[in-house]
Amino acid sequence: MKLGRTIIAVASIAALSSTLVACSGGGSSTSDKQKVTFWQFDTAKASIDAYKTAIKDFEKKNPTITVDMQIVPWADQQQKITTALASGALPDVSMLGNDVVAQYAANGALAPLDSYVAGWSKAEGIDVKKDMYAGDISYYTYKDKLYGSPVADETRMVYYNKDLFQQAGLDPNTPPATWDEMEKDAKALKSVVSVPWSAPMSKQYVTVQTFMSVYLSYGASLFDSKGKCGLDTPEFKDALTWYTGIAKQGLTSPDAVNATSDDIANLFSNGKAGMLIDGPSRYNAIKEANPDLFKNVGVAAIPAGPKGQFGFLGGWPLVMWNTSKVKDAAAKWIHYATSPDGALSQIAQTSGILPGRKSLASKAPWTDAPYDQFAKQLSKAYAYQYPAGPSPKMGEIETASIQTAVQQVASGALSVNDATKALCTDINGILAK
Amino acid sequence: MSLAVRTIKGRSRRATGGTNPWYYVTPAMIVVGLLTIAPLLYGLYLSFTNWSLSSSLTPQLEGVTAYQTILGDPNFWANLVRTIEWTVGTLVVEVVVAVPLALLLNIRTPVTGTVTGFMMIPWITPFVVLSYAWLFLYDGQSGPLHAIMQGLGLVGASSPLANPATALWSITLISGWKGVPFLTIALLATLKSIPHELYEAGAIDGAGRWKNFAAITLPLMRPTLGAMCVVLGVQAFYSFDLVWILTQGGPGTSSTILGIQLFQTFFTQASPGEAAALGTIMLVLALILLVPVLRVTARRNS
Repeated sequence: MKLGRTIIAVASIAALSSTLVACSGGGSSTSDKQKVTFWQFDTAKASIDAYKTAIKDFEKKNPTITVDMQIVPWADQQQKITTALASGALPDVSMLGNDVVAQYAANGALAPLDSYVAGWSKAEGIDVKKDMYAGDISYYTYKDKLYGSPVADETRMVYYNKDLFQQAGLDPNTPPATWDEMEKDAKALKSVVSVPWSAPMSKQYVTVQTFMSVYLSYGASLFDSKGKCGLDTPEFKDALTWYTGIAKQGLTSPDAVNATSDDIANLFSNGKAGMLIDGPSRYNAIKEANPDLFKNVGVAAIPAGPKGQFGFLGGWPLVMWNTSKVKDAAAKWIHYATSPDGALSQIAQTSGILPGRKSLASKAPWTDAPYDQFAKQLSKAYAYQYPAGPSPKMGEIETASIQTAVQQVASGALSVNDATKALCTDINGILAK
Repeated sequence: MSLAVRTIKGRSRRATGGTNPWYYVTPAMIVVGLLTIAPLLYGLYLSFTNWSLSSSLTPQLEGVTAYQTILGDPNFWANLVRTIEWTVGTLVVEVVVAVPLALLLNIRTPVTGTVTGFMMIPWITPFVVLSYAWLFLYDGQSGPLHAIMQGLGLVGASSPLANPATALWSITLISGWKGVPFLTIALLATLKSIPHELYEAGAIDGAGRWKNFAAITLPLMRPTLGAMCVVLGVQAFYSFDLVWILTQGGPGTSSTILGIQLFQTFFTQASPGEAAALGTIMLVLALILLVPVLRVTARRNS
C-alpha cells in the first residue's frame, strides 16, 4: 500500500514535469526546410506589406528557406534585444539602429558579413561596398569587419506650414536658413498658433535626433581628443541654452519635455504647429493623415549654425545575430532584402524611405521632390559623435544622457552649467565601464 | 511559509494512517519552486556577477562589485528617498480617502450598492488605460484638469507632469486614487462584520458617536488596515508601470523611483548583473520596512 502511494506520487510528479518539458520544447525542425526568424521594427502597414511581399518572392526563389517575420516596434526594440541577449532568444536576422551596430558588434553578438559580401558583389555585378554610403560603412564597420547591410538612410529637414507663415506675415517661400531665423520665425508664428515649432524636449530618441543638428552646428563634439566627454565647452553650453530657450520662451508645446515623438509629430500633422523637424517618411504620413494640410506643407533644409549645416544621419541595416544556426540562409535573405536586384526598391518606395544603396537612390522616384532634397542633404548628415568614429557605448550615451540633459534644462530642473556637468559625469561613467 | 509547514505537521499527526500530505503538496511545491524560488536564486547569483551585456554575453562571478556600484551611486539614494516618499504618499492618500469612504458606504441607503460598484472602476481598469486617461486630464494644451488647476493658480502653462517640482506628486495622487477601492472594500467587509451589539453596549455605557468610533470601530478595523497597508505598500514600493507611462522617471530624474531605476539598469544600460543586485537590495529593503508591520498585525490577529 505504502509503495503504491509512492508510485502514484512519483508518477504524478513525472507526468507534471513531462508536461512542462513538452511546453518548453517543440523548437526542432522536422523537415529540411530552414527557418530564418526576422525582427522587423517598422509598424506602418505599408512597410509590413512591403516586407510580406518581399518574403513571398524570396521564398519562391529559395524553396528550401522560410522567413518568419516578427514585428517589434522601434520603441520596444532595445528592450526586446536586451532581453533576448540575456536569455539567448535572439532572431537570426533583424533591423538595428545604425548607432548601436558597433555596440553589438563589440560584444560579439553580431556575425560579420564580409564572407558573404564578395558573393553578393559577384551576383550583382558591382562592388556592393562601393554602392553603400560612406557614412553607413563607417557606422557598420567594427574592427575592419562589416556587420550591417544598409536598408535605409534618412536625415531630418524642416517641415513648415505655409498657411501659418503667411498669416504671421512671413514669406511662405523663404523658410528659415539659420537657427536664429528659425527662432525669429517661431516668435512671429506665436501670434497665430500656440505651438510655433513642435520641438521635442523629452527623454525620447527624437530629442537627440533634433538637438544634434544644433550642437554640431555650434561646433560642439561629443568626445574630446582623449576619447572622453567633450561637451563641457562653451560651444555645447551655447547650443543647449539656445535649444532649451525654445521651450523656455514658450515656442514649443508646453508639454514638450514629456511628449512622445508621435505627440510631437501629430501637433504638426493636425495643423496645430507651425514647424517640425522630421524625416522623409513624414511626407507620406501627412499626405495620408491630412490631405488638406499637405497642400500647404513646405520642406526646407536643416538650418545652419555658426559652424554650418549639420543634418542628422539616421538609418538602419539588416544584421545577422551570431547565435543563428542558419547563417547561410540568413545571409541570403539579408542580401535579397537589401539589394537593388532584390526587394530593396519595392521596400523603400512603399515605406517612403531613402534606400541605402547609391545606385538606387540616384533613380526615380528618389529624384522627385521632396526625396531629392533629403538625398541632397544626406551629404551634409553626420553621426552624433562627429568627428569621432562609432562608439560601442553610443546607445547608452544618447538615451541616458543627452536627452536627459535637454529635458532637465528645458523643464527648469537644472541650469545649463549643472546639466552639462552632470551630462559629462554620466558619459564618462558609461565610457569607463 | 513556516505557518504553512506547522499546519501540515499538525494535520499529519492527527490523521494517522491517512495519505501522507507530502504527496499532495510536493507537485505544487515543485511548480512554486520552479516559478518563484529558482528565478530568485538565479537573480541572487546574477547579482554577484556584474554582468554587462555591452562587454560580455555570459555572466561571470565578480563578487560584490555590483552592490558597491549601486550603493556608491548618489542617484540610488535620491531614488530611494523618492520611493519612500512615493510609497508613504500613496498609502496616505489611500487611507485618508478609503477610511471615511468605507464608513460612509457602511450606512445602508438605496444607492450604496451602485456607488460601491462604480467606485471599483479605478481598481479594475488596467494601468495603461488609466495612465493615458490621466495624461489627457493633465495635458497642458487640452487637459480639463490642468485647466482647472491653472485657473486656481496651482500650476503653470505646462502639464504638472512636465514640471520637475510637481511630477512625482501628481503621479502619487493617481497611484493612491487607484488603490482606494481595494482598501475601501476590505475595510467595508470588516465594518460589516462588527456585531451591532457592541455599539448598543457602548450606547448604554453612554458613549457618543465619536467615542464609539474611537473605542470600537477603529480598533477592530486596525488589523485589516495594517494588512492592507502591507499589501498596498509592497505594491507601491515596487511600482513601475504608472510612472513609466506618464513620465519615464522625468523630467530629469524628478520622478525616478527604484522600479524605474531597475528598468533603466537592465534595459538602457544593459547590465543584468547590476539590475539583479538592485533587485536584491529592493527585496531586502522591502523586508526591512514591512516585517515590523507584519509582526504587529499578526500579533493583533491572534
